[in-house]
Amino acid sequence: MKRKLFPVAALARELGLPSEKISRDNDNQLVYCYDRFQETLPAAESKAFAAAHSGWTKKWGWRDARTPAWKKE
Amino acid sequence: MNKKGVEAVLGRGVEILDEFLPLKSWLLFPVLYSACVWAVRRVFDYRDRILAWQVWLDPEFVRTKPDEFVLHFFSGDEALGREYADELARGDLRTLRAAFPALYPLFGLEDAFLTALFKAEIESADYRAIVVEFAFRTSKARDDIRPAASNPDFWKALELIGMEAASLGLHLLKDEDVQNMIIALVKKPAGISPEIPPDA
Repeated sequence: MKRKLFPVAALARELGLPSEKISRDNDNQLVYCYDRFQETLPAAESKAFAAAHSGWTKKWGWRDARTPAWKKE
Repeated sequence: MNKKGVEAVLGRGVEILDEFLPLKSWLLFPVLYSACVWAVRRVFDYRDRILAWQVWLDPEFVRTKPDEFVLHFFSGDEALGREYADELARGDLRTLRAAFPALYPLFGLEDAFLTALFKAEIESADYRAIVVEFAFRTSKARDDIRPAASNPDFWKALELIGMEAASLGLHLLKDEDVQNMIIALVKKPAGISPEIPPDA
């Protein structure tokens, strides 16, 4: 379930979402998936996922792997 | 940054919006504060942004969230995690899911309008009061804003106020300062506007 959720949420962000609120909710789902993967994936997979996730979040302008730009500091 | 100038612009904003939202409406603060938030982000679709919170009143949006997402939301927020520690410890999803529709738009999505609408409860960390009040207050807000929201001049006025405040350095003020400034202006007796400084 979560393995499908992440690429769907990442794709939705790339394609653009119809409203700011939906977009924020989508970002929260990405953070949720990130946290869950970090907890559940085997070490090697988790590392590879973290590297890929970092690439995406840099592209999206997040402050770090868990903090979208719109989140209060 | 011209703090006095920003205050003067927001003061004029309160006067102008008072014509659309009659008699020092309780909605002046959330509307003007959310306009400020969006002005800082340089967006011009104020209407959609300010009314976006209404999307979350549709129960379908939260009904589809998995239990794990709800748990992650509560446990991931320090203050909510503390308040709902007992429910989290015993896995009381019934209570958490009942609270989620009210708390997620505020703390998960950081909606500016709702943040202002529940400022008192947020400041006193009375999260359970938000849950109790949410349906009534948002429903009343939706009803009370409807006449103004259907008037294009209302949105035009908000955009001009936001743009002018942004041009004077609104983005350099803390959120809290902007909120307190607007609240003070809204509470001022009618007809007493802040003086406009010569360099504004």
